[in-house]
Amino acid sequence: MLETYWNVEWIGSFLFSVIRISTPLIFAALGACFTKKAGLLNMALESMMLVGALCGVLASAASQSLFLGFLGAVAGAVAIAGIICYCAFFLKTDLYLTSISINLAASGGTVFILYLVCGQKSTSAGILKSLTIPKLTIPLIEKIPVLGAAVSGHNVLTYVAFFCVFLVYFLLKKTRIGLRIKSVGENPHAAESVGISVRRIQTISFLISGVFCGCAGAFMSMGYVSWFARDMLAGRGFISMSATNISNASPFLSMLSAMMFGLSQAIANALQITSAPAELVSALPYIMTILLVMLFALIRIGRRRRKMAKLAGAIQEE
Amino acid sequence: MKKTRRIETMFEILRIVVAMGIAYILAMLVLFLISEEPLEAIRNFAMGPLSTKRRFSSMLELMIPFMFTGSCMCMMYSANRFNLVGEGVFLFSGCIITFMAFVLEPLGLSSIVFPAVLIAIGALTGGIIASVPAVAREKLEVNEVVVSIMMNYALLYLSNYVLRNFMLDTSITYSASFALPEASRLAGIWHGTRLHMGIFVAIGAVILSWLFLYHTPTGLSIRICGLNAEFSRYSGIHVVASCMIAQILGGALAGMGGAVQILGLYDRFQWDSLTQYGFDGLLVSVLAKRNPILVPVAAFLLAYLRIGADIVNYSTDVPAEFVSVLQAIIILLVAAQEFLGRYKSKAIFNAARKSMDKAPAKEAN
Repeated sequence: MLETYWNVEWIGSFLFSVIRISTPLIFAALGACFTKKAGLLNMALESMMLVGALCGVLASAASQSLFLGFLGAVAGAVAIAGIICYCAFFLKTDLYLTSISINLAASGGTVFILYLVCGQKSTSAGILKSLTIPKLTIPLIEKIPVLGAAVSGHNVLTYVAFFCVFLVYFLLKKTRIGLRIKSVGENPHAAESVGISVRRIQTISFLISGVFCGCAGAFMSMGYVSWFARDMLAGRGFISMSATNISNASPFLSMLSAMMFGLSQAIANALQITSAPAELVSALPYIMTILLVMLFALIRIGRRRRKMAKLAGAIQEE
Repeated sequence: MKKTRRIETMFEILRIVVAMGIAYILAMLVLFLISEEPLEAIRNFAMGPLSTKRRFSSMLELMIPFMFTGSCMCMMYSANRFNLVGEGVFLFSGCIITFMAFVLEPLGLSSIVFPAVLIAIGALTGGIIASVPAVAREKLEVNEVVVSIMMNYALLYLSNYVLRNFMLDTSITYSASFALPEASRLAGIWHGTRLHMGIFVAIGAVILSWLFLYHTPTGLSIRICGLNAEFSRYSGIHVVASCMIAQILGGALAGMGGAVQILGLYDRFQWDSLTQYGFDGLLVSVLAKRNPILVPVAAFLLAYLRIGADIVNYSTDVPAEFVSVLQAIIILLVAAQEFLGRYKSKAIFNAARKSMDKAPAKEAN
């Protein structure tokens, strides 16, 4: 039994699937970093990705151009971000409520559009001739036994996702807009007092987050699979949001925690072919997410409590 | 002061009416643009739900789950907690009570006690499940939306597991449980339709949650926590306990809803995907302004919209999903503080000025 798993080829392909499954999660988690740094939770990652995925398929099928398809995905996701900002910051609706209702609208609205275009409500597979983003083999690394199988041959967007981790780090740390986003998140009143428009910065953070979700959506429908299916995200937006929350919106840690969730999904997929009950295995990634989020919360609370105890001790000594 | 409040209430109502109006006009527009027989589609959408006895009764049937999940979300939303576990609870409690119906069948309970026991079990299940995101939120400061959404997926798969492994009837062609015992089912109340006793249970639940939220000290502290957590902490309200109670009771209401839905409308448990009733509950509670007593009205409006869309779906070429976009528009416009806000401020301002003008006149007399 074990022998079928513990060989070099299997480990290579398992790691490959971990990276592949993690790609959309990394994109969305990076997007969530911006809004989290601006002091807001982006709960609409799910709908931004879903709309991005649909727009990617539609745009690439209509134009037969990969670039336009990708652009369409990003534009769709950014449009959703714009709608949310308009409602939350200008019409003054509750941001949570806005995100949740936009999520609901997206899950129904995409099915509606899918039906208008394809004449059926489940998938666009075999009906729309949408394009896929090509795969990339890395010349030298490809030859290394386990590493080659795991790292080479991914979708171009997968490599872009890992590159974006550095990009986000740079954007948040070194650029003017990044610093402004952080200042708004840490103390909106202080930022306001030096003439930064909080509402504008938060809108920008949402729009950037939309760009990343568009990439994630494009990967889902033009790389992970080559079609759009209803509710194809299945909670990935919320998983990514938890990844960002756990890691306190640091891009590198967000990537790592996104990959941790990718790992649990990959394990579930690998167990699928064993005799383990399929339904329980499918529930695994979601249960893992809940457990991980709670575990990290416990650690955070413990750390805070120790810090407080230390402070109390220091005060007493004085 | 009184005048200001009256103007505010008026604008609240106006906002709901205008939001529904805008959504309705948009719906007409969509139907007009994409349907090949737009007039037929619009007529069906607007008048369809009221046209026959069967359609009208199916609208009342649909109100039952909406009333349960709507009052569930009123509880949670009153404490300003977006605990969306009602969705998973609704499905899972349906599954559990079906299982329990087979377990309890040998006891030979009467057809009044049996459903009551099962509904109570459903409520208990809901309360227990809803306490997980509640504890995560209140004790560990974990976002309750994330935990509850993840739990919805986990509960879906868990319920599929229970269905496939413990009660699957292999003698029928579709995937469903064994037939529920006759004594466990809720009796029909309107001959020739599927409307069942559950509607009274639902109205009872709505009234009880209204009494709880608006006429008990605990309900008051829940609402204060929802309006301003800092203030309630300052004034000595136990925020953790209040919010926990709100979420657990909300879960119990959703659990009752799942049980009633299965016992009233189905002869077997056969749900294999999320029912969406939990999310509809959010819409209902927003429309009802978090007040359970308005839930039946909101549930009626939503059911009207839904049945209209369903009729359009099967009588013409327009898919029913367009309603989900309309729902979002309604939620957003009703919840938007700034929507019609300028007119409201102006009205309050004018009223204030008028009363100021009057005051000196009185003094002179």
